[in-house]
Amino acid sequence: MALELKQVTVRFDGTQLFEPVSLRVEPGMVTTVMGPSGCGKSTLLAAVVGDLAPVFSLSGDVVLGGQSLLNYPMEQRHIGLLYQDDLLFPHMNVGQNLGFALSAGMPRQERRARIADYLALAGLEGYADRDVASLSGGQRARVSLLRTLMAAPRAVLLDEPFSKLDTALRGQFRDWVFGTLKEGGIPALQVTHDVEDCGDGPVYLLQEGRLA
Amino acid sequence: MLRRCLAAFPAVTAAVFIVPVVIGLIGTWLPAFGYLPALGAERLTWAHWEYLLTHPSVPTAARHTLISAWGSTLLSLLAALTLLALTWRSRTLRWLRRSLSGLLAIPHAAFAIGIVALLAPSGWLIKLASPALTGWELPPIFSLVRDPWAISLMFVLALKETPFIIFMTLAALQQLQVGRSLQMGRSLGYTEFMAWRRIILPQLLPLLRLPLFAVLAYGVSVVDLALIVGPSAPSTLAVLVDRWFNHPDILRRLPGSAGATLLLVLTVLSLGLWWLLEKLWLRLSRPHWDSGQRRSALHWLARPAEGLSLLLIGSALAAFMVLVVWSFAFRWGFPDPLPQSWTLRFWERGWTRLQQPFWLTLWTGLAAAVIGLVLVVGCLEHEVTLRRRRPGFTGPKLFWLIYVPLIVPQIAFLFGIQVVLVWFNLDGNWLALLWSHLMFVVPYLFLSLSGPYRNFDDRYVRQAMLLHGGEWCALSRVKWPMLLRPLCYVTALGFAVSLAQYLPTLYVGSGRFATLTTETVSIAGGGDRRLVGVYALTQWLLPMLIYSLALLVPAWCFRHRRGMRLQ
Repeated sequence: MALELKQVTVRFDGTQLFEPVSLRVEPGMVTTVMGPSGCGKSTLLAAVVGDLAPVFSLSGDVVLGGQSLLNYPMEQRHIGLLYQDDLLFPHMNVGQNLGFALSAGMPRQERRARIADYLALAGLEGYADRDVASLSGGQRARVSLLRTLMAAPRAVLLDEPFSKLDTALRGQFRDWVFGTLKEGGIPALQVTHDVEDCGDGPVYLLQEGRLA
Repeated sequence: MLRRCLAAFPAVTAAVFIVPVVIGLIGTWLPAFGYLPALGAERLTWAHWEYLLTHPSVPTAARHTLISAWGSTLLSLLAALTLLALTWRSRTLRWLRRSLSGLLAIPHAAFAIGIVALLAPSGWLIKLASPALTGWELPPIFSLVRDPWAISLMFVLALKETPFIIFMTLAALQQLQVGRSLQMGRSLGYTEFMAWRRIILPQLLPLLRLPLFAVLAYGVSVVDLALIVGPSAPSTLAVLVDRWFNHPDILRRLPGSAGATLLLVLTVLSLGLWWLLEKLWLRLSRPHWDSGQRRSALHWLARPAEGLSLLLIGSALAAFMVLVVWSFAFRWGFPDPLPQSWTLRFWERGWTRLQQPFWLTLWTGLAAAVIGLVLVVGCLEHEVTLRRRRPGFTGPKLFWLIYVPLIVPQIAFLFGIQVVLVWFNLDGNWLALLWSHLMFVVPYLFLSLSGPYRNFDDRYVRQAMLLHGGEWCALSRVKWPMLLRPLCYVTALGFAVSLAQYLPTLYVGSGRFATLTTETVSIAGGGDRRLVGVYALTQWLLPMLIYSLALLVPAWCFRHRRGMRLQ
């Protein structure tokens, strides 16, 4: 299932923030949009996920699996979003954070098994009962991605998710994220201002209101 | 649907609490000009104003009011700011922060009774010092409390208000980048105290305007504390007006209304003057901000500031201790430092009398706190929606109206409300009593919760919505549990505010409801000290119990969550 942006542009107070953007993100690929701070990268992601403030107006279309998303609210688009902060819920342990993303009707045993399987994927076996505050930065980042994946998103948006990790951890985690997304066949759109964070997918540059 | 419901909260909250204030004010102004048909007064006249302004007690009473209100507000502001500036990042402040909820929980009346029991001519302090240090075998004839200049009232008010100002200052400081600003200031060679004065204070004072208005207005209109620790011949203007309103000669309610209106005028003038002084101070100090002076001659204040925090906590502890000792005393003559014999008799007697007020106070306080919490959370959540829609939005202007009951003197509109309630035969009704408490609970809850609620990182909610789908789920399973600590804390604060209400209980309840506060204040004037001790301690312990629960419940719920611990 591919994610497509068709002539997407955002206006604020009648001013166009960037020229119409068209791109296609293939399943399992990480497409990157690069650009300096304030160029509208995060606004573009907000437009895709459906989180634009009403003062902005969106034109164009966002299509996922051949279906336009524009008429769906944010929570019904089935798009995962990873920020530069992991945003793990501090009042829940690791297992509860992951379980939060599972559907409500799932039996308890199945939930536990699913959580254990996912933790094993990230090399975090036996961490379900751990307090999230006791995890290292890298572990927190992995749990955050796992949580996003557990909600079975049809696409994932990455808002500079590696920028707060230290250099040693960064490359390793980035490869793991891209590998996991590829394995799951999930299209991913990443915005960053760091060239190192680009994967082997297409890279675009958003500068002076134009995508190149 | 949820958002649509929330949109109604600010208007409903403001209407429910502001409309009665306006009606109450009108209901007080009309009798002030001679119109109160229920008493046969139907002709507009200035006569009651003439009576008021020529009454021999009024000028002195007004002077007492102004001295105690202005003095206590200035003292508590100065104490709170000096304390924070000089103990920032120190152990003293951490210690004070931990004691803050306990200090805030203390009801004004119980605190004042404790202070009187300490400082009265036959109080504990003089007993402890006599005769070894003073040489007195009998209580001295002078008194440190109830002095004719209202100085003791001013100091007791200041002691009681300082923790509130510290609490509000700490909340306001969350909006400023204090740590980084001080670091920057120090890296440029400024002492920390100087960096506070030059960088933090000019940003902080405007943020404290509303809490200071509330403190100033409270000082002008306070009755219960003034009855216990204030001067008596004459008393403060608020006490004088209260006496007229409750005088056996019902026609005294007419000059009483004029007096209540005069109190309102004094409050408005005081608030206006405070605003002007704040502007003036900012204007005069502005040329000094970049003067380059890096050290302050006032640095020697550090030690007294630490001493002040000790005095704050120490006075509360000492007041508490003396009440405990009195409540168990049987015989305690002067100058014995401790009672000669002890008894449980006064607790037994007190508890029998206090049972009904105790349960009424508990249920009314809990109901007011919970309803107030729902209203305030609804308003704040609606603000979040508006902010999401309009980035840079600073909050609906309507929210300022919520604070009106705090900055209008209670006595200036409660009599009018009473008149209207009697008119509609709604006085002396528990729901009316609950609503009158809510009028004061809601603004305090709003003041206290708005900081943590507005500072909450909204991305958590969005992440929860993306992961689980529903907004209600995001709020109930992520946002509110993460805010459990402040939510519990403000609920306890709401309870303490409801418990402390004296005038609303008397006026709206039409004297039919006896709460711990009304009973304690009524017995404080002339009751047996041992029984007064029992009453005041019960009034003190109930909010302490609720505060303790408010601290313990989140601590227990999150005992295994390091990220949820208090910083």
